[in-house]
Amino acid sequence: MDADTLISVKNLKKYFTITRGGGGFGSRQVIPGVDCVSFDIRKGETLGLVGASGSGKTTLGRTMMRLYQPTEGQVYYRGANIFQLKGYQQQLQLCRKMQMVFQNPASSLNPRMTAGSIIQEALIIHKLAQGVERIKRIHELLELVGLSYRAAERFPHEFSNGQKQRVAIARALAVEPEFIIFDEPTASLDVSIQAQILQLFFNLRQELKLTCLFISHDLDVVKLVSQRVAVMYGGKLVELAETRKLFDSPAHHYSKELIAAGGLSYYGNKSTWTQNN
Amino acid sequence: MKNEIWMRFKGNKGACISLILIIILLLMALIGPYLNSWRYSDQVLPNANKPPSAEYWFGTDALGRDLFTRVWHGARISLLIGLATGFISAVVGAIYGSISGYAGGKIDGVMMKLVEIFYSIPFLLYVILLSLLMEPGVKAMIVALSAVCWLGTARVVRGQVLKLREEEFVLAARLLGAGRTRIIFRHIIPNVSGPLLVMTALIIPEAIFAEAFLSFLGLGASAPVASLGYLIKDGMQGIRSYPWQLFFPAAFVSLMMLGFHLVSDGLRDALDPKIYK
Amino acid sequence: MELDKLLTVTELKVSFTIPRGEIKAVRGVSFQLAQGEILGIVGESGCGKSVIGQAILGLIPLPPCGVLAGSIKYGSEELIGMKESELVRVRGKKIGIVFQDPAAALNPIMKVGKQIVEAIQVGRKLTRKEAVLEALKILEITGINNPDEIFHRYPHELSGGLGQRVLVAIALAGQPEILIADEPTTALDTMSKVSLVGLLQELRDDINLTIIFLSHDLVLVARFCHRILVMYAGLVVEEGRAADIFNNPRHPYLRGLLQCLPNTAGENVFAPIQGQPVDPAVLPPGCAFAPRCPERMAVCQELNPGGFQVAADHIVCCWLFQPGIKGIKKAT
Repeated sequence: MDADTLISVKNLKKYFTITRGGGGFGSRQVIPGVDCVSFDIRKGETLGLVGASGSGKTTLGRTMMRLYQPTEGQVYYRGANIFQLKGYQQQLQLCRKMQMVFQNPASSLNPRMTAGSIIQEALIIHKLAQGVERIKRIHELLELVGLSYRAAERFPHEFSNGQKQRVAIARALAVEPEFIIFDEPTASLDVSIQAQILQLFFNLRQELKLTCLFISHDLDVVKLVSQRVAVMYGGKLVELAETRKLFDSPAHHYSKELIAAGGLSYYGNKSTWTQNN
Repeated sequence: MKNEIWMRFKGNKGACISLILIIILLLMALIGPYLNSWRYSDQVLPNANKPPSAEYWFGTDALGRDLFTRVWHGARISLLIGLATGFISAVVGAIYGSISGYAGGKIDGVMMKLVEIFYSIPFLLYVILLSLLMEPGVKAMIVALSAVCWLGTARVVRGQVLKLREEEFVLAARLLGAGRTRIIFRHIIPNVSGPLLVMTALIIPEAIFAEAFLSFLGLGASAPVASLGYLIKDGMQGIRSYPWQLFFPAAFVSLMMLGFHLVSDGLRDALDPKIYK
Repeated sequence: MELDKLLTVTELKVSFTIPRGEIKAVRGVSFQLAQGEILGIVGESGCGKSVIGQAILGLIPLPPCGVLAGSIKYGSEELIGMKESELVRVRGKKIGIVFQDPAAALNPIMKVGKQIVEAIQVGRKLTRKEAVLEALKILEITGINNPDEIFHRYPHELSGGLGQRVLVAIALAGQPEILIADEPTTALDTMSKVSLVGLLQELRDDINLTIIFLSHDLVLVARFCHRILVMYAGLVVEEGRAADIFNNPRHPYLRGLLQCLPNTAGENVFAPIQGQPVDPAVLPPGCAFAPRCPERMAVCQELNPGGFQVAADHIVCCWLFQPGIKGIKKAT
């Protein structure tokens, strides 16, 4: 593993056991959420992750964030195995390095907390700023994601979906992470709002030099944001290639199917598709 | 959002009237005993068993005591016991249920088994046993009642917590490095308040009734500090000749219970999960 | 009005009265639907397209609805104001609807086959055997390879794509002439989207089904609809053939929307529409898009534009396209 690699996933497996029937008499079924996945993410890179629903993309993201304990395999952050951290302090440190933005902005914000409280929680837990400094930092973060400082006093239900997602991003940025997993961040947003959030993503990525894993089922979005793209199917990683190469000449048959189904060619002002009439 | 809940509540006429009723009862319980010149323990034996009149608004009891004063004094005790029980059950149940639900696994299993065991003991039997163990009095009554009622709130809260545990905002807090305590108290408990409130509003009349019943059996607080239940017991003795002695305390116990039940119904409707979330 | 128009909607207005104020969901929408046509109605959330679908089927609850005006003619029958007992005859039989979320639209405790059979038996005298046979046939029509197996499954045992096909099957059970599809692909992944759309096209080819397709996915709609209505804040802002809409967009909102699509060139050309979507309770006077429009003029902020014909079958509701508009000063 060279110095350039930030994250290294090796043979990661996450199986779920479902017990059908109760009282100890049921049958157990094992579902492979993530089935032996390995890949690296280089520093400063945005890796796209695509696949159908149920392909394991979200499970992979959550396992990488230690929300699930893996059945097998390792994930290395700068060479350190994140599942074998010793002590509370080390685990807390990792929270500052790796963060996540969830798919549904409505459910990723605590409806009982103001935007300001949501953002400052990170600052409190990691003792990053006190008193006046803290308030200043909250306003800075809000501005960074394109919200006015007045948003700090508002509750989630007072925001539109796009604004909620901005608050969620501000929360993730509060700990000054190096690596962020975006799990379908624009899936529940309207097209025009999606565009705004993607624009925000580009700006932040450049300004803060972020390394990202961008999960999406929307191939067009992934094509736009990623340098390399990984394709998942049935819990397995079936192909990983540079974006251009993957979309121009996919190797695996599933990737071929996916790309044929998804993208629409739209170059410049004239479209090159033909309409079925 | 709070405005919407309030407006839905206002739309429910039964609930609103009940709320006003309860407020009136509370006020009267506070100031009622001072409204006329009689004190609750003043005995004027020649005036025993007098029907309601201008001098004795609710009549007198067998020892010549003014029933108006005694009824409101009794109401004070009943309401105190009801509200205190409700409050303690809510707090204890919320904490127990949150810990059990959030911990999950074996801990949850053990904690809930305990609740189930206690739950299977008949309510009144349990309260009677407990109150026999302690010195009879208001404090003992509150402790005994709370010891039973918290089981209900614990279950309700645990159910809510199991749902909330997988919400994205809880996951986000975990990713920020929030410890269990912070998650339970900052994220989970504030969001279980809806069903918890409804449950508590039901516990209050149950506690009032239980207390009245126990006092009726002679197991409650003793004379001359008389709760409504005790007054009912006394009133039973003169039921044929002096019906007012039974009527007033019984009527106000009924009104209290009806009032709280309707308010609880109104709350439950106003907090309808479809819109609450 | 031509005689072969299956559905004619004229100046449809729907408003809701809620504590916050009056929400004008639809503010005067008109269009016609010819037999065998696939009409796409496109717009972001809050534009009013779902409300149009519900209004056609008389599914709008009268409180909180304050205003339901205009005309929806099915053939020669006026649907607005029709009595519930009459509407039941139209719903499902003449006009069917497919909703967005199969999980929500299907009864979770009833097997899928039974739900289709129920839909078939509404208003018809069929023995159970006949109804079951027909249900299996319909499942086959919706492209399900193993209808016998699916018949006996519960909704939660179906994937999103299959669930959506079952919804289509239920809608087809009444043998409707028109099918309204309300965002049927939103919850599906790419491949399921494409196959569902393929199914709808086949239905139109095989049984001459007329389809109204409501969606916020402009690309998908452009791919298979014949005509498209683009909506913003309760009004149609542009209307035309799919190829025209996509290749020759005129309205600034539509152009902005197309510019937002991620498959437009690279990062640098990417230009999101500024500002927030309009709040339907607080509509500005004049054109609802004016506050966000990079080309707004003074008149846009005062008067709502009518429709201007820019080509055959291509209408734009924007002051920029009024004949002789050159020389009007732009708003500051």
